[in-house]
Amino acid sequence: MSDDRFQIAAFTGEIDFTGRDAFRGGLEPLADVDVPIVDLSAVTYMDSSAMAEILYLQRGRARNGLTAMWIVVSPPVRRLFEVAGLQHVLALAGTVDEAKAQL
Amino acid sequence: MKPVRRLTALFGFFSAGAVLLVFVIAAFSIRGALDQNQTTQTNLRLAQVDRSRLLRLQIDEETGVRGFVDTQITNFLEPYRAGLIAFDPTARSLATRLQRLGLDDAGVREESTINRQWLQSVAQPLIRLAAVDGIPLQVRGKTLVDQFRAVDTRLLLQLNLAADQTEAATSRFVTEMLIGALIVGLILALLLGWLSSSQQRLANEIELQRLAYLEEKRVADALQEAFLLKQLPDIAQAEFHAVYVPAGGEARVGGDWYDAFEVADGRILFSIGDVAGHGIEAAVIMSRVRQAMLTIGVDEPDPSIVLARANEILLMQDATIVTAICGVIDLAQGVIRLANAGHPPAIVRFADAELEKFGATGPPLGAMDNPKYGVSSVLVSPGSMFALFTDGLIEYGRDWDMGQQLVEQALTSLSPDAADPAAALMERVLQGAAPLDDVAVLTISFRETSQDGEHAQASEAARARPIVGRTFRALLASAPPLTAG
Repeated sequence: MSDDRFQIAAFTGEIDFTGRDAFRGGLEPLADVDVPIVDLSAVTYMDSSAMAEILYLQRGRARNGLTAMWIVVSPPVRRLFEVAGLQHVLALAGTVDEAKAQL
Repeated sequence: MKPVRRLTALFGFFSAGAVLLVFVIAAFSIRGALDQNQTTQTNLRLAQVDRSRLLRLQIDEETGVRGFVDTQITNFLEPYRAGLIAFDPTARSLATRLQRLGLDDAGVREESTINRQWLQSVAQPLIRLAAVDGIPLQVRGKTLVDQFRAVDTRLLLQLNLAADQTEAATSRFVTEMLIGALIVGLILALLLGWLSSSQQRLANEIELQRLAYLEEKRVADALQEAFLLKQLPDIAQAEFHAVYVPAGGEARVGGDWYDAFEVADGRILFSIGDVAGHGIEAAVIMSRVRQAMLTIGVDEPDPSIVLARANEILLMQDATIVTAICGVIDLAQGVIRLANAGHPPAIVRFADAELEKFGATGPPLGAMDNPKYGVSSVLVSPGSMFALFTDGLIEYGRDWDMGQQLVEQALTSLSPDAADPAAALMERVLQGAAPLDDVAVLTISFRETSQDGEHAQASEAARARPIVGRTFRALLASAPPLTAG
């Protein structure tokens, strides 16, 4: 899903190690775009392996000198990032509009 | 294996049933065709009887009239009269039989017409004009009778041909049915053979996969066994317990670990962590991170620096993400310092059963360059217990808050005298269920009393101010890290 300026990858449901490859595939298009948004607002559960995929993507973009991406989170996903001490490291937003407004 | 065999047996059963059904249907069809042929042949024979009877009646009539004309004796007219009575019913019977057999009854109609013409134009005038010269009439009569016989011969041939055709059609049908049944049976047999062989191939593949799975599990179990710490520190001031439970049902080497080593200057270095992912690769990363943390921690008393350097090493290898807690127990100072790289919080249960959590002081290892890790500190407090665990314990119900709550409840209600607090905590949270992910738990229980002189001094200070110990931790936690990585 995309409009003129943003490239958005949206996911739903539960993401754990069994769906890790599919999740990685869904994130891949964001690796080198200018303004990426990962929409996890409809994700009800995410485990650490899915969180790792987000961090790989972020790490790869940082190394290529690209801007940080915005991550739209549901409350359970925000909780996961907070437990992992990532709330100040990742750019988290509650809605896609909120993320777009920041970009 | 068993379901595949059941499937093969099921295919066999249905194929055999199908073959049997085809042959039963073929047998019934052939039987029906033969019965039908029998009926048709019987009707044809009865039609032949009617036909020959009709001919005989015509002959009887004709000879009767001829006898009467020659002799003028009325007795000669008996066959003629009998013929008159029987001819039409016999002709109708023959016509009906021919219609039922699906044959043309034109011949019968023609014979009836000829008979009528003969009666009207030959027989009746000859009888009426008995004394008159009947030669011309007899000549005409002979012509009509010849016509009648020609038609009769046609009827005879028609019925014989119908009998032959019926016989041939039946024979063809039986042959076709037999060949059809054989072909269907052959096809089903081939299909069954193909299915059986493909099922067998599938069974073989599954068997190979099962063997590969068993081999992988054996290797995984051996690796996990090798990676598990065999010897926890044996010191007077604290008891260490650890437990590890692999995820249920799958041969996966987890990336979870726990470590605790007595290093130098009365310091105990401990850690717990979780490598994102599973399998041999995760196990190798786990082994490297552990080794790196131990190597750095031998000389480096600040756990935040240990984590920062481990992060550098991980990034150099472009490896996966790792969450970890690194802690240092400084027995000389009676202080525990720990840094948390994105790992679920360590929890301390104080002697009065109150809990304090030590959450992330920085991001997971491998996530970014130059992260800053804060340090939390707490005074060694006799009767208190440190509980460290991996996320498999709190992800158990797929609800972090609920999982965290369960762990806290279990810790609050845990008996201080529990022989193995790590196992007891695991048991209380999982309640015997197999976890979805690997779970490692490490507990460090600080003893109330000690015979060791040096430790007695340290724990004496801690015992005197357990409340101060907590305050001290809180102050340090809000302060900048001792050393930034």
